[in-house]
Amino acid sequence: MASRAAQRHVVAHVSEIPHGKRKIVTIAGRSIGIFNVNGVYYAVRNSCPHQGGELCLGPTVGLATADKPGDIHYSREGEILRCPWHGWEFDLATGRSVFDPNRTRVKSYPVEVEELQAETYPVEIERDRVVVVLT
Amino acid sequence: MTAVAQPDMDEANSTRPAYSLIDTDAHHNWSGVKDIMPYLPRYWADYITESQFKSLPSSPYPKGVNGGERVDARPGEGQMAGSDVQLFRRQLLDEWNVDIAILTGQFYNVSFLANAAFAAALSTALNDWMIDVWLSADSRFRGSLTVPMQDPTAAAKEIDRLGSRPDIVQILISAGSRMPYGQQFYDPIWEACERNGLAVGIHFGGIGIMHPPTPAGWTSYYLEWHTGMSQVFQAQTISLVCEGVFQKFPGLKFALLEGGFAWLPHVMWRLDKNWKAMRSECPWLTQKPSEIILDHFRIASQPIEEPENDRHLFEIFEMMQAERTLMFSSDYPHWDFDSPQQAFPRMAPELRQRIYAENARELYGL
Repeated sequence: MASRAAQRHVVAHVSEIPHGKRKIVTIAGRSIGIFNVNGVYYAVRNSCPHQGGELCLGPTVGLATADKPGDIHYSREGEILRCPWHGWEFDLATGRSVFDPNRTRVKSYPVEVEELQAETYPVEIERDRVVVVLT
Repeated sequence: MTAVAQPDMDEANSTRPAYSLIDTDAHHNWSGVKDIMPYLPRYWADYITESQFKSLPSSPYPKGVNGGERVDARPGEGQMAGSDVQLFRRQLLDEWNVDIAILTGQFYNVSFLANAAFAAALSTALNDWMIDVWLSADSRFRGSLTVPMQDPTAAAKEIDRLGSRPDIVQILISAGSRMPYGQQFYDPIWEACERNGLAVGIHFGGIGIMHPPTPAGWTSYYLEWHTGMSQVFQAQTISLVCEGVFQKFPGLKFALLEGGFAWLPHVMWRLDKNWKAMRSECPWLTQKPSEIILDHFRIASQPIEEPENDRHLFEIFEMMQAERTLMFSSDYPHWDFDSPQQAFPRMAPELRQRIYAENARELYGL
């Protein structure tokens, strides 16, 4: 399991990425954005499959759907990442685009929160760390 | 091949296509408003007499070429081309071996009138006159209903009155409009067409209360107006797709008549591209807009684009899936008539059969 362990990268303390925020890091030469949506962390490659825009600089929005024309249902607020260049929408949870989920995707990565209980100072416990698993 | 004998099946039809030439744009005409006077209620007949109403609003251009007509199609001096049933049959149907001609008249112009009730009365009279004088004259004719677009409720009523007739295959409306056709004002009309199994033909034209059919406004010359005709077809196609008309009326089909066709790949590509970026504005569009276009629109060939290199035309055919989408049309008896024998370059027989007959046969259920 050495190789798997080698792919685990500590990228932040949880306090660095509060709800609605993101952090963009470089891991093994790859720019990756880590997002916190309602306490759930997502990580996607910071490059849009369309024309290479820095995807993770885009706004996080909700998912607009409609059962019939004019009847718009807006859900999953904050879970859709829109490319800052041309507006393509990606599901942060899967990396799949909204318009063509099977064929147009951005690479997404599992994110874990590792609880670390080690005392580093007598009066302060190091807070939980966000870990991205490169796959 | 061996076939199981079926007594009610014409053996020839099982191996040979039923039709080899369907003309999807053949303009019959009246000889004047007097033709429909017997079909009008007394009030409107008197209105026409007293107001000296002579003809429907037309385009603001003197048509540079022969008054817009094939000179040889006029039944007599000073008479309107297309107004004589016998000459029409001889010159179009017999001469070119047309199996079916979809009559497209000149009468969508009723929707250019400001008075919606007048337009509704004229529509009803024109439709009854067409059935009596034209559709009953030759089994090769199929009719397009005239409807008043000013009043969707009245239009839907007219569609329900006649739409179930087997010799009526579509309504016919102008490409110029007061607002884009995707907007819900028109929904009762589309609903009635779907209910009656009718296609919607959109034919180039427009003035009166309609917007000019170029987004820049009225051009000075007929040459400009005729060349720019594709613009309004693009606007209507984009509107119908984006507004979700085909989510509301999944059985609805449109025929785009006399707008050329080489613009179709451009619109499909651009709409798909923008949909990827702006899908959330119209989230009822759950498939690529180009797929909706290919499913719901058929497009008539005349006035055919004439690139110097035939290969370029075939490349456009490939881009627009002409084997699914393109239908032959002649526009008889107008000046820009396309000959069934000369307008197209030589084509593979399968493609020719699709364009000359099958696409129209499928669209109109012939």
